[in-house]
Amino acid sequence: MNCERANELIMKYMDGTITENEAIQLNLHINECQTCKEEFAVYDSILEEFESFKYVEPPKGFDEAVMEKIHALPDVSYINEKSVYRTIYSVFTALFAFAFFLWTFKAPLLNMLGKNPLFSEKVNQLFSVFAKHNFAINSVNLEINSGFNITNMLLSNAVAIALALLTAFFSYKLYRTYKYMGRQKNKRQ
Amino acid sequence: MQKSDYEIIQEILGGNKDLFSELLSRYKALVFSVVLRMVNNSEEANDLSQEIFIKIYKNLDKYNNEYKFSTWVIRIATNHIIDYRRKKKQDVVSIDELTSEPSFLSTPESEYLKKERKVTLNDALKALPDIYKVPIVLYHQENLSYQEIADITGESLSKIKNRIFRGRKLLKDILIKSKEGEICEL
Ligand SMILES: [Zn+2]
Repeated sequence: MNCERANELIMKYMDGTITENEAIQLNLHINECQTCKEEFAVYDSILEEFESFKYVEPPKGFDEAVMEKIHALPDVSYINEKSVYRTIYSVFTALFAFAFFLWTFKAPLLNMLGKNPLFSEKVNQLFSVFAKHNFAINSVNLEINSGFNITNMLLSNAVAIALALLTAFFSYKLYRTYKYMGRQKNKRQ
Repeated sequence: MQKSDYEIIQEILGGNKDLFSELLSRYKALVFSVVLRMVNNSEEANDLSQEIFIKIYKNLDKYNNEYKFSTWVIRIATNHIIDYRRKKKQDVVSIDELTSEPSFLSTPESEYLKKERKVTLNDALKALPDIYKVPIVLYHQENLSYQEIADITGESLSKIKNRIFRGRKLLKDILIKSKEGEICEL
């Protein structure tokens, strides 16, 4: 083995990744080569000194000094991106889920409301709007499609499907904010 | 039951400033030790450590709990020291200036060691330029991985590896030369 290879193995030793076989090879070389032997001894002492290192407490009064400075700071306003997104996603999830519910159950809901004297007038107005809307579609359909109301059915389902998808999308985004709390890589400022 | 770092951080973010003292008592030795390895005296290290904790406090909302809090703390400390030293342009220091250790570190034992071997690892480290010293301290003292150091310093993995290898060689050279009684300048 040459000194260059020995040096590579010393680095592996420093990394703690040297294999047993490599350690034996290194040992053989060190026993023959005085330069590498001396170098290895120094490297080993560096490693040893790092291993024996103990944490040093800062001088007395450190905590107090820092806390004093912190209390003297104007209130730091923490704009938490996560919580902003969380609010947005929750609002949209709730909104679309509610819309989906209303759309799906619009007939029974309107029926129920129609029975309430407080709302009956408004509901009846709405009914007439729906009726006109349906009539318009039906009359178009009648021309294209002899009596079979596929377009209307699809249209009605498309809205429900769109609302369901939007609800799912935003609830998924909401879920992600909990699962991956701010996965953005912190680049050096 | 003891609160986790994350719970404490959430409470501080919620307005309980005083709880920051808990983070201080948990991490002050870590921060101070890293800083002390990188700067020349304890007074400087004290000031810098205080600044680092203020920075930690101000940026607490940016802490990402995917990392260990200690890693994030080391990141902020390291970047702060690098910036500080860049401003001060203090990379070249002769060994002579370095042999005086911070007084509170001088135990009878370390006094003895100092006489025995004129230059300690700590002194040799201080003579290393930042680009080598930072990764070496983070790797050997803080036991971070190459990848973590690369993340912290924003350098590539291979660059960090090279610098640690080269830094070790420089350290070894300083220590060997100092044994031979030379004054070494980098
Ligand atoms: Zn050799």
